[in-house]
Amino acid sequence: MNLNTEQQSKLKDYLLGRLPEAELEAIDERLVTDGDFYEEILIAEDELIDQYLNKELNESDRKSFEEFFLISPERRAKLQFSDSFMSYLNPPVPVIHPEPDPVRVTDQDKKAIDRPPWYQSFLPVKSPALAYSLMSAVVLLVVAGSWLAWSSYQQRGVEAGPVYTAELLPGGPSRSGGVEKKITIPPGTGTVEFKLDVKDDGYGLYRGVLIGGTGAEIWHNDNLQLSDSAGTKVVIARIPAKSLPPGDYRLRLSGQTPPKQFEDLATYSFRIIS
Amino acid sequence: MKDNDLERLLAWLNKDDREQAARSYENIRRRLIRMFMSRGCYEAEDVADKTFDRITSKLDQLQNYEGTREPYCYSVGALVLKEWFRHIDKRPKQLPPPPPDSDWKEREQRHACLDECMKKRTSEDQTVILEYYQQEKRAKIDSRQRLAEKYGISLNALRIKAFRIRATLQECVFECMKRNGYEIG
Repeated sequence: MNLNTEQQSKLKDYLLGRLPEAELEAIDERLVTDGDFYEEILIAEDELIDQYLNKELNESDRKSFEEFFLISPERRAKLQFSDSFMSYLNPPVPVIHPEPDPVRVTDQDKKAIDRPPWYQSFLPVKSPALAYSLMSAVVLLVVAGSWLAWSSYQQRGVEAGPVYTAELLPGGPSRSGGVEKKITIPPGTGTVEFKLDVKDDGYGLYRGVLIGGTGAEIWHNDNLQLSDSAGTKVVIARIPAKSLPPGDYRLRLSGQTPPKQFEDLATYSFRIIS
Repeated sequence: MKDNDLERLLAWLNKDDREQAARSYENIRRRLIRMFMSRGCYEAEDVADKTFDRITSKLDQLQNYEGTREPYCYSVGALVLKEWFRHIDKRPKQLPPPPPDSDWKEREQRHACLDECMKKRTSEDQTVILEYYQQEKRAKIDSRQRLAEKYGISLNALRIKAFRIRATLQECVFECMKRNGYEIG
């Protein structure tokens, strides 16, 4: 069925509960008696849900969507499905860690294979067993050092460029009120440092998970620690500014309990504006 | 509804073909539910059941009814809906619940179900879904146009095709979630 723009707009008003009483009956009757029109309504519902998830509805449509359209449990389930469906089809761009180039074996390399290993000339012992033990110890030290460096990098999470600090309180806007934290990141910022106000300070480590407007995970770190900021307990999460384009975000904080389980503590909602 | 009443109702919907009658019943019920929902009724399924109860109670008088069944069901449904509105006006006003926000485990399970359900689709369906629901606006318009040309169909036919695949996926995911212990709706 091909509906023109005016009919589509009428359907949208119908679904948002804004159609005048006089026009309702005709649509109701057609919905029940015409199978193609019924399917058109279902498609219009999906499209409305997608517009809501993609933040393409204006304030008034959004309000009607939440307060009228979502009143039925079936549509609420449809919204949850669509949210997952969209993030499944459009996963966030992953952070790419450079991989070493695959090894290409040349003729020269092949000749070298028969030569004794280079490190043997540095080793004080000629016994292969002892030599390999020494090499293993060296490798272990290098791995441990790298792990410590990586862990420290993760903890710091600092990108090149200036650091911009934003303080967040748990919660955010809700139906019953609440103030939305709006953040403008100055141009050229490398890292945004979020100071998360925490009430529960009895955890050794904290996990932060940043979720975008579509529900997709954008960033996470399991090694966040508690700090003191002017007498207030805060957990600091440093997130590359390039991962934070304008939009709505939720930062979920959980605390680690033995043995390595995380308990949900708080969610911090904010909006990045350009 | 009692078994006997249901049989009488099905016979009224189509006296020659019981299977066809059962399909008609399901179709009318689904459409009535949608109508009630779209009018802001949060007990749409109950109101649909009441509509069929009302129709069943009048079956004796309907034996000579010649017209198609859907318009009659609609008019009874419209009446039952009006009664429902009058009834809820007397109840204390309920605030609508906030938009749903599922927990991590549930989201992960839904993604696993989507994965499972997607793999059951043909590669053509997978291509349609992946290209049709791209998020980036310009790319979305271009890829929909390309896709419609590829299948030799209009953009609207493509829209319906994508919707039907998505609806099947949704049904499959809901089934999968229920199998894994989650309530739907």
